[in-house]
Formats: sequence, structure tokens, C-alpha cells
Amino acid sequence: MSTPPSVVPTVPTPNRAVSDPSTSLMGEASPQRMWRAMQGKIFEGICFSSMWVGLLVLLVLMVTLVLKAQGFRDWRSSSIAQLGLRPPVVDALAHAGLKTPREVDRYVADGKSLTDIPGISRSQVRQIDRALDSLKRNRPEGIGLDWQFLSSFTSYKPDEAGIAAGLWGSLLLILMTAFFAVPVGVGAALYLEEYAKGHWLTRLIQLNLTNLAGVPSIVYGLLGLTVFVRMFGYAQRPVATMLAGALTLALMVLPVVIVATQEALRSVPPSLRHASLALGATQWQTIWHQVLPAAVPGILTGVILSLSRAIGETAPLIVLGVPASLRYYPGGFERISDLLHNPSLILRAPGEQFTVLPMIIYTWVENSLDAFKENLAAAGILVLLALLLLLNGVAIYIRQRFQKQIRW
Amino acid sequence: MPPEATSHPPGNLARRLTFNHLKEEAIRVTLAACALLSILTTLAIIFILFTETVAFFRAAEEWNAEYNRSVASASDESAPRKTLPAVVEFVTDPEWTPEQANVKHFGIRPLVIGTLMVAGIAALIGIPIGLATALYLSEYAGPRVRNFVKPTLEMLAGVPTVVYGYFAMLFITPYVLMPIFKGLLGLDVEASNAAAGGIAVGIMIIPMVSSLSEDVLRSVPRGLREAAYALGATKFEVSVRVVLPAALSGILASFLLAFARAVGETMAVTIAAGNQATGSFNPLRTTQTMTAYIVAVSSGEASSGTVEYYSLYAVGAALFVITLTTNILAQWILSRYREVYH
Repeated sequence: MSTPPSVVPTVPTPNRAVSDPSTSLMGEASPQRMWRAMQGKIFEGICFSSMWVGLLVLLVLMVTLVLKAQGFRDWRSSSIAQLGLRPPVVDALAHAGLKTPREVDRYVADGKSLTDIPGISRSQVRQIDRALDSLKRNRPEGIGLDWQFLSSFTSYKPDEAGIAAGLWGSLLLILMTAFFAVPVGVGAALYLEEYAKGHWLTRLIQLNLTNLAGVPSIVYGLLGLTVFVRMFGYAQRPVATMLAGALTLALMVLPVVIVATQEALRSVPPSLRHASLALGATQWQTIWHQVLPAAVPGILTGVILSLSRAIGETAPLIVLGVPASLRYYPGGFERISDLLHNPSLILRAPGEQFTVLPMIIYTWVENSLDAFKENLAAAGILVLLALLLLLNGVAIYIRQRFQKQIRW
Repeated sequence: MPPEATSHPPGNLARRLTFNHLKEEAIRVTLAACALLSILTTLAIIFILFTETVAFFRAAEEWNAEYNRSVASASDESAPRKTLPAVVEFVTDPEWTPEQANVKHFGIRPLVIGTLMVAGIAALIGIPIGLATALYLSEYAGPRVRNFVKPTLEMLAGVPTVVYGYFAMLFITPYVLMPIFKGLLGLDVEASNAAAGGIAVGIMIIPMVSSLSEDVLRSVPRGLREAAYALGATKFEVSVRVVLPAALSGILASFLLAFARAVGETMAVTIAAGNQATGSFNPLRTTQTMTAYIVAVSSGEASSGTVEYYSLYAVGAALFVITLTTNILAQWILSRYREVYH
């Protein structure tokens, strides 16, 4: 028996005119169609490249920071051209094997005289000395992101300056801010979501929160200055206590905490509440034992993100009158060992002056010495960014870890 | 049936005397108080700014009267008299020098010009880039690209503003502005200028514009896009001629929100744009924004009750009014946009 001929219809070749926009339906290429295709590519290219601007800026920022924070360690090893000497002098020094400022320095320190080098006259030696001195003054050695930086206080001498007071002040301030902002924020969100949903007052409060979130941070500083520092401040001299700072930042952070908590509460399914109420629990019992535990990861994430914004805030604290050059840890003690001997010292902190890391950075940036303006500020910024990275990492970790635990 | 069964229920079903309803009510009142705190905050801000601004005008009037008296007693014919009432002077006088000792001018115009210059440059930079990013993310990007780009934008948004100020002063001015404007064009670029501040704030608002615009673009119904494709439009035409106009009011709202944020920005402009209220329209010159002025006075030594101290609140009030109206306008536009599509 012969096999019947194949009756599978052949697949028609796709019509080029439909898929290729550069040809018209008549089958001819038209410049108009090509332009339309080109438009699309150009537009896509523009949008694609704008998308990477942010990443580019981040990279440039990080490179600048790292270079500046480390740069001064290397000035002594980098080219002798930094001394600003004339080429013949530079050549003469190079011939003698002195190619970096460090080598020149060591040469002089060894007791040898620079006039021994052929081509260097006495006046040029004076020039070299002056250049070395000003380089040393402007960019002293020994500054950098090291333990000394993290454990000393600010000083007018660049090689002794550090961020200890600011670092601990920032941490303590954030803790106090959280202490005030979290209960009030979660409480307010609970009320808006669980007790008074749909009420006209709730809508008004919601609108109010959105507007408060858009108020510039410096206005919160003015509010804090008037209410917390001048009204509640000490009788003779109104001073920016840690309590005032924490309350001001808590007010600033409150709208974000409330909105984040509301989102977290909304993500808890209503069936959980209904089941709890059906079993006879009161509303608060339902909230405390069922809803809140389920919403905690979302709340924590929102709280940590808003706190990470508060850490970097300088403007409201400047308005409050927070100083930058404090030479003691929050609470008034000068060495960590004092605190270990007497832990209650930390309880004095809320009533005392304090300083924070971004404040120190800002003061250094406005300083006229390069060592402060460029290098120390960069080192301080790196510490601040590391702190932020840590906080955000914790938030992301919490989100990942607890997302899996919730099973409805 | 034993008589006890009807009158005494078994022990474990008997109602105990609890104060549950009182506790519940107390908790409810506490939580309501927490919620009302936000309204209290807004009222406090408005009250404080308003009363202290009134005090400012009063102090300014007093100072003007004092000044006129001292000028009259010195019989100095050439010295200018202060003739306008303080409120009018606030909006019309082209100089702002409340910290000067001899002649104080109370015209807020230079500060407003400074703020608008910086915010304008920021908008010029941040809005196009943010919008283009949002368009790419919502129309063209696949999930892998999106998962990579969105975190970088969030990181950009999380950088503290002091860092942007540092970046502006130490990178943008010497390595971007100086080579272009001084090197190529020969214009004079000051060390702290409005352009550097504007660029830094512009970069800062890119994530905001991008995320808000992307939300708006994604909420345009798919049917609209698919109809356009069905009619033979290219991807570019769909994005630019169909989706973008449909989302226009929402995008406009996101621009306004970003502009309000740029107006309220403090640290980056204080560091990068300077502290001299020149009121100049040249972006390469120093200028002082309203926020930078507040920082400058707060860092100085203004004792309470003086006109310098009150000028803080007057400028703060002006700032608050500008940002509040911009935000309210943006919210209103957004609410109308949502009505149309949902």
C-alpha cells in the first residue's frame, strides 16, 4: 500500500510588510517608516541611559569618598609634583633618587642637607622646606578611617579629630527617637485602621499626615526650637537637650511611621480578626494577640527605614542649636571606662547637650582647611553611610526572614 | 431537676467581675489621642509660624521707626528713610539684610529668587531624567533590569543630604562646572554657586520623580495600550502619544511633589550654594536660599526677641506656605487623576 501524499499544508512565509515597520504595506521601504522605527530606538536609548544616571552618580560618589578618605595617606608616596616646585628642582631631586615627598622628608630627617644635591641652591632648600611644611599642615599624616578616628573627639587639629561623640550621640538619639515615635505612631495607625475606619475625622487625619510628610524638615526644627527648647528648656539658658532633639525628630518621623504601620495592618487579612472576635476576644485582645504580631515585620521595616532617614537629618538639629564640637560622650563622660564604672551616667544623657555625626560632618565641610573639608569629612561620611547600610540591611533581613513565617 | 441548676450556673461559666470594657475604652481613648497628635502637630506649626511672623513684622516696624528717628536726629539728608509698612516691605524690597547692624532691609525677594533658582535647576535636571527612567521602567524594562535599577534608585534616595552637599562642593563644582563653564566658555564660576546646589538637589529628586511617575504610568489601563497597538502604532508612539498623555495629570502631580521637595531642601544647598543673599539670576554665582538663611541664622548668635530671631520664623512661614500649597495642589491633581481611571 502506498502512503497517501502528505496533506499537511505548507506554512505560508510571514508577510514582511506586517513585521518590518520600515516597509509599507506595498512592500517598498519608505523613509517615513524608517524614521518611525528610528524614533523608537532613539527614544528607548534616551530612556535607557537616563535610567543609569543614578547608578553612575552613586559610583562616582563612592569613588570620590573612598579616594578622599584615603588620599591623604598617600600624599607622601605620590609624586613630588605636589610640592609645587619648579621643573629643574624636581629633576635635580629625582636624580638624587628623591621622587616622593616622603623620601625628601626622610632625607632631611636623616640629617643630610639638601644643598648636597647638585642643582639645589640654598634658597631652593628653603622653598622645599616651606612647601613640605605647608603640605604637612594642610594634610597631616595619621588622619584616616581608623580606630583613632572613631574614638576621639573633634579638635581643631586634623590629626587628632574624630567622631566619637557624634557616633554615639547619633545612636543614642535614634534610640530615643524610636522610643517616642514607635508607640505613638503604631498607636495612631491602630486607631485609624482598627477603630475609626471610614470616619470623616480619619480622612482628615489621613490628609493631614500626607501634608505633614511633605513639610520641609527645617520647619520641624523651628517647631522643636519653639516648643521643646524654649518652652521646656532650662530656666536661664535654653539649651538643645537630647530630649528636645529626640522629640523633634520623632515628630518629623511620625507621619512615615504611621503610614507604614497602616500598610502593614492592611496586609493582615480580615479573616484573622473575624476569627478572633468570633472566639470571644475583645477588640484590643484581637489587636494585641493576633493583628499586631502578624503586622510586626512590616511595622519594623517601616520604622527602621524612617529611622534611617532621621539619622541623616541635620537641618532640624541645627535650628535647635545642637553644637558640633563637644568633647564628651552623651551623658557627660569622657571615657568609655567612666561609663563602665558608672552605668547610670547614661541616664543623664536626655537632659544634656549632644552632637550627632551629620552635624560634625557639616561643620567639617564648612571648615577652611582642606584636611577637614575634604578628607575628614569624607571619612565621616563613609562611617555614616556604613551605619545606614547596616540599618537598611537589618530592615531587609527582617523583611525576608519574617515574610516566610507568616502562613495564612 | 435540682433547684440549684437553674439559679447557679456551673463554676467555670460564671461571669467574673472584669474591667474589660473600661480597659478597652481607656485603650481606645489613648490610641485616639495618638492619632490626634498629628493634627496637633500641624496646628502647632501653623500657630507658631503665624504668631512669630506677626512678632517679626512688629519688630521690623519698631526697628524701622527707630532707624528713621536716628536718621532724622543725625539730620542726614542723603540716608534713605524707611517709608513702607513692614508687610509691604517684606514683599517689595529687593534686599534682605536683617543681620546687618546699620541698615536692615527686610525684603524677602533675594531669598525667594535663590530658592526658585536652585529648585528650578533641580527640576530641570531631575524631572526629565526621572520621567525618562519611569518611562523605561514601565514600558520597556524586563523584570531583571527592574529588579536591579529600582534598588539603586532607592539607595540614591537614602543618601543623606549632607553627603549631596559634600558631593556638590567637592566634585560638581571643580570637576563638572569649572571645566565646562570656566574652561570652555570662560565664564566666572564662584566656589559656591546655585548651579552646583541645583544639580545636587536634582539628582536627589530623581528617585522621587521616577517612582511616583512609574506608579502613575502603570496605572494607565492596559486596554488603552493594546488598542493603540492594534491600530498599528509603534512602541514609541504608544508610550509617548497614548500612555503619557493619559497619565499626564498624575505625572504633573509627581513633578509638583518633587519641586516641593527641592524647595524644602536644606543641607545640600547650604553647603553648595552659599550664604550670600545676592538674589542674582546667574546660576554660576553664590546665592542664598530660604532654607540656607534659616540655617545661617540658627548657627549664629541671635538672641531671642530680636528682629533677626523673628526673621527665622518669617522665612520659615514663607517656606511652609510655598511647600504646603504645592503639596496640596499636587494631592488634588492626583485625586482627580485617580477618579478618572478607577
